[in-house]
Amino acid sequence: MQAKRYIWPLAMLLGLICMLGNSFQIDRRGNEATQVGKPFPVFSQLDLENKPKQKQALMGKLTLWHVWASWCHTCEIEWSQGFEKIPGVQWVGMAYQDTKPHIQMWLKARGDPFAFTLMDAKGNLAFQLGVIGVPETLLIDQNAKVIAKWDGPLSPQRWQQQVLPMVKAHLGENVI
Amino acid sequence: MIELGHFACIIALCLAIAQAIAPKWQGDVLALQQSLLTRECLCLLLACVSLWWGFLNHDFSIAVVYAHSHHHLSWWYRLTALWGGHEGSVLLWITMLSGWRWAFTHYGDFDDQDKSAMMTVLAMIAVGLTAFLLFSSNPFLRILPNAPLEGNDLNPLLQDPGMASHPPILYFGYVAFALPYACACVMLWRGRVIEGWAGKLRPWILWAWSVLSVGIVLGSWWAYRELGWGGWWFWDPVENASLLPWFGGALLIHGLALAQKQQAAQTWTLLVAIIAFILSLLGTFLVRSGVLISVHSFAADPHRGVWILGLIGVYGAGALGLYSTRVSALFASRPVAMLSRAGGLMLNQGVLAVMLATVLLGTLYPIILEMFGLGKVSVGAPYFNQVMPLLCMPLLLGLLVLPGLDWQGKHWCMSWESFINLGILLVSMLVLTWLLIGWKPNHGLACLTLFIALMGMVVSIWHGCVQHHQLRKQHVVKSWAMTLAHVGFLGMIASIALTSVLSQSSMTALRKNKPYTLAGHTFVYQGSERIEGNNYHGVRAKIIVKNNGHSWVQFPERRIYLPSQMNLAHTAIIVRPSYDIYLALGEPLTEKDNQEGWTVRIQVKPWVRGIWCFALLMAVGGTLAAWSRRQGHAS
Repeated sequence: MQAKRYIWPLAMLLGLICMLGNSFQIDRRGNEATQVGKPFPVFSQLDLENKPKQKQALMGKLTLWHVWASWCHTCEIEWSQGFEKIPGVQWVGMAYQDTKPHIQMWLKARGDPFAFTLMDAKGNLAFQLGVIGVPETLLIDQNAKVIAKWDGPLSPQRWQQQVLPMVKAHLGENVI
Repeated sequence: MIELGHFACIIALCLAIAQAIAPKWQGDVLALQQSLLTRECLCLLLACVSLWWGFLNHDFSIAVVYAHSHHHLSWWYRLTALWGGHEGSVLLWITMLSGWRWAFTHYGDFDDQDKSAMMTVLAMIAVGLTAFLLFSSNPFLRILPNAPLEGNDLNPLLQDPGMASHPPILYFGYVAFALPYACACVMLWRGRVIEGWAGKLRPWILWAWSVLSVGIVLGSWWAYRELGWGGWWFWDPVENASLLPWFGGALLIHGLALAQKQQAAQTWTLLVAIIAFILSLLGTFLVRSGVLISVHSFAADPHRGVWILGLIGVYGAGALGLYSTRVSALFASRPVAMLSRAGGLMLNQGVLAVMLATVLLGTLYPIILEMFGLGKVSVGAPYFNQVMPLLCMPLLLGLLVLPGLDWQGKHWCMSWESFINLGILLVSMLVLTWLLIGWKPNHGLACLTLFIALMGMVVSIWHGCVQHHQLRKQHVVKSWAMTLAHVGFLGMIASIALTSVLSQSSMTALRKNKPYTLAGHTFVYQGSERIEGNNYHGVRAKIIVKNNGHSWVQFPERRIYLPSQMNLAHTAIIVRPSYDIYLALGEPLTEKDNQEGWTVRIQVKPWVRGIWCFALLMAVGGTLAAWSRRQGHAS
């Protein structure tokens, strides 16, 4: 009887190990449980200039949806490499769990590559999008369907080898 | 050469196995273990030297040298590149473990028999980790037959004195947590308490914790200068991983005091001893192997991850399994008076444990949510910045009343006079807080924290002075050591409160010869020039900073490191007695602005240096305490 009181640390450790072991099995690169292949969730939010934005803003254009935060220093490194503008493709920013002044300061400093920027202060939209962490980038097609998702910063190599070919394929050759 | 290192490492593994099974032999087990250990240390040193040799001679056929070095890299960063990657870090870890073990067998206070048993446990740890090194993170492998001619370069972020010295110092602290773990295992295994175990362990854990503190300070200082953001703590999983063992160490130091002086809470302290080591394993390996760096890279190398989990499972579950079955018979429970120093330490243990749990939960929260299919999130600074200051408050208040408490709790050592003194203190600190910070309704908690921390500092120093006159000579150093550590902690909290409230920051476009003013300082950009470094090129801007007749010329830079093409800001910082002026170069203004200039992040950060200075003071206090305890035993 006495011993049972002291078993909880062991139980907690085993729980922790199971948990960590379990996350090995989830293949995060495999985009399962994310929105890839599914329509973009419906949203209605104010952007930085307090203009309402809905899902319609994504229709008819190829969109690169960038999720980041000013408190994330991986983002800092990613942003130092800049964002390439491609004709016919709009960049949309979503600031994850952040405040407006921080984001405005950030965009003023580094330039604003975005058509518009949404504040996702509570992380609700990110939750629906299956965002694991910041930074993340989603590619959304003209019918507002998510076609690809890249976790982590887009290094120049990743941009050249993974993102750009996919963007070009969906733009069609007549545009570029 | 590298094959020699590889071979030495295999021998080291065999030597560690021999030490682990040495108790099976008859005769002087400890002497045998010591002589085996000395050889193991030498073997591991040889292994390190062989890798260094490869780094110094640009032997890019070695996989780790290829991954972390480059012809342009200067020789000191080639040496520190050893721990720039996971494999080298594990080697460093094991080498340091052997060093600590060596020091422990030769300078530990335990009896020969106890020491030999602890050596056995420590050798088992060494066996597991050396096997992990050789079978899953081997740094001695070559890329053959097509050896590359050029390396990938050390991550430019790591090419900085702060970051170069940060990992070894951090590990030096981490590794020592194996000692209390071994002691706990031995006592549990035998079902018998080692007489005076808490007192004998304390100097070791004081050393470890102090060194760990220095390591964390170095990391924070590096982040401040190198990341160009002006922040000094990001609550990033990597940072949290180093903070967890630090909390473990702080818990252990105070818990051991409780166990030593009062024979109270020993069951709890034993548990902390085990958990602290598990946390330091978690800290080192989860971070370096890329498992915790961010949730993204979690499954970067599943094979390695399984090894790490296996090691944590074996050492953790082994010790905790023993704990669950045997600890109840080990100690008699002993109640303590709540209004006594022992009661205060109980409060300290509770609060520190909650803080530890908070950080742990915040770090693992994304994984927990994911496990139950509740979605994927990452927990950032906002969570910690809200919770941690509140949790700090009881610690501050505890330090405030500490001098009024004695061990037995027979009486409050407070007289009417001291109440009058307290009144004077209260008023004068209120005035000081007002002078430093004013009243900022938005930052009520920070103002209150500052006020209490300042009071705590005065009370601690006053208490130190009183003790200085009252105590016998051999206790005076110990008392001052505690005072220094506590003042360091309080000062750190006060600095954090001050910096977070008073910092002024601005992102602005500086045009040529157009002055800009922030917080009474005038900034003038005067032009920029190209720079060429050893392995980078870039631009530096000349910015004149003026304030009340003082004037400084500063050169913040943007660097592009050649091999990796990584673009980094190199900050310029003016250090004033009470504040820092921080300049980080952003992007050049575009041509359509029609004038030369840069976007610059300018920050004026009062008392930011206080955070590190006081944290170092805390480490000095810890070191002094460890040293005085050794002196005490020697005499």
